[in-house]
Amino acid sequence: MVSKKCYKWIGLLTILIIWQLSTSLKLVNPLLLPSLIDVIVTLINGLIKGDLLLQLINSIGLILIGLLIGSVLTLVMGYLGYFYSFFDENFKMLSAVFHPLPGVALLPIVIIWVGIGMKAILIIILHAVLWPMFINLNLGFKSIDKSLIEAAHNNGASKWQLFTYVLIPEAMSSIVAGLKIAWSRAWRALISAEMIFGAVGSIGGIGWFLYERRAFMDTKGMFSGILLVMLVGIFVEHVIFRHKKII
Amino acid sequence: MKKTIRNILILLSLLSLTGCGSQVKEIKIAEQYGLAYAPLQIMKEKGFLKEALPDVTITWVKVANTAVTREAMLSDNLDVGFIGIPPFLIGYDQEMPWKIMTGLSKSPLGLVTNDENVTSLSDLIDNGKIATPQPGSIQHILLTMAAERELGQSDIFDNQLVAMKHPDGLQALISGSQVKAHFTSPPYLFQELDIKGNHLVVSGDDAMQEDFTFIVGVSTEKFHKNQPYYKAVNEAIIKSIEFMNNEKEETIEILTKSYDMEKSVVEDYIYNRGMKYTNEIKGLQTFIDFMYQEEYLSKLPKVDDAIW
Repeated sequence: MVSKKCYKWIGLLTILIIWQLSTSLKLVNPLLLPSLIDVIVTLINGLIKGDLLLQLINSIGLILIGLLIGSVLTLVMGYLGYFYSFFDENFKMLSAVFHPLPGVALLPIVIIWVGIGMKAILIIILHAVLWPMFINLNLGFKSIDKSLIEAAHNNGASKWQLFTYVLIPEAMSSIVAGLKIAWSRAWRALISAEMIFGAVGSIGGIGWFLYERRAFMDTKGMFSGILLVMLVGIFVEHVIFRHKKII
Repeated sequence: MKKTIRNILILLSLLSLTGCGSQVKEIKIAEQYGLAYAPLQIMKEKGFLKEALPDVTITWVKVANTAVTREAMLSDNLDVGFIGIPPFLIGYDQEMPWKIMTGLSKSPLGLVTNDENVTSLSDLIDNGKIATPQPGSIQHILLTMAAERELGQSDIFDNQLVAMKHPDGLQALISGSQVKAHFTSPPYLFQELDIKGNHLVVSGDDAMQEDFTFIVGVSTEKFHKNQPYYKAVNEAIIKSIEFMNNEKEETIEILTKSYDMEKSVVEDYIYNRGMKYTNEIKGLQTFIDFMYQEEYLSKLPKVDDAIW
């Protein structure tokens, strides 16, 4: 019998096999659905010979910078919000206003303010990651066992000690959940911003790659870009976030 | 196991079914806004196609840009579309089953700058951003052509390009942000040149050095096989173009309404600033040669093969 661990791969594999079969048997127009093998070859060629690898690094780099700045801001906001109700109320209000707002909707305004390019995209990514991380952090703080906090107080812990030794470690699973949401939100923000407003920097990222492939009617290229984003997603899900329970 | 195989077979047969289109009495034709597409507006408003094919449903499909046109034709949502020669050639090179059926218009195109110190292309090297519509558009190809001709290097501006829709490019140029120049077509070209301080750096004619068609009508292989419909569309286009060239008063009236612009502006744009409406196809060979040389095309097509 197949072990339970493999279940999740069976569905995916079936889709891939049907995909390849339907193109090998010439059931579909390759301009609509190119063969899986062609897509993989295009992807490898793009990574080795083309700019795709640089574009991927460019994209991930921007996202990581956005996540880093977002994390620092979230921690500062979390600290201020937890200990001062004035900040708490205001941050809650702001996140209620901004959290549901898609970053792409802000893009035209951001572009007027800071111009096209890296800064604009970074602001959009920051907007995409900050609110889910902040909301999750708060959620984590709220679900902490009150007795732990009281124990820290009784032992004379300062605000900073309470924050670093009790609040953060106890809220870790919520923080990781927030990071995961932020990560996928950041991808969405980056790719949609690039696809609507063009390249960032000189070679652009994955969103620009998709935009350009579409403009040149390169269906294989479009599929290879999407495949790459998926592969990165699988890698992050299974390699980076795998250990969240240990934390 | 048997069941699984059966299910896969059912799924596959379902997939293959979706490829077939049924024969319906319908023509799906693209409707686009822009001065270069004016004959289509005339054809629609005057009902020239309807007149020729009274029993056929004519569906006007609004499309925003070239990529959408190509994708709509690919997914069988469009029989006849109207695009620039370069994007047509890119699709043709990718073995899209389509060819040119007619020319539609010639138009002045050009690179406009807002910087008075920029007098030639060389002044733009490493100097701000240059906005064009999507890569592979006629504006982008003309810019690379001009760069090749004047500076000997077609990709010299690649790192400075930003892809913007015409109205966004116009805004960016006016607001004087990083965008120093914008390669565009009418009416945006005319609007930009009418603003004090803006001037033309390079025109489409400078780049091509010959007369060329801006927008061509293209149709799918499937539609071409349906000769009565195909001929009717072609004739309706010719009729619309003749109407525009002969009945100026009424043309202006119709377009004023469709474009929601001032009458005097429409008259000026359509008749006085270099727009030409004709079904001849010019410049195809030059585009083919240049785009093949610069590797935008992987194969070198013959002009006659690209036209029905």
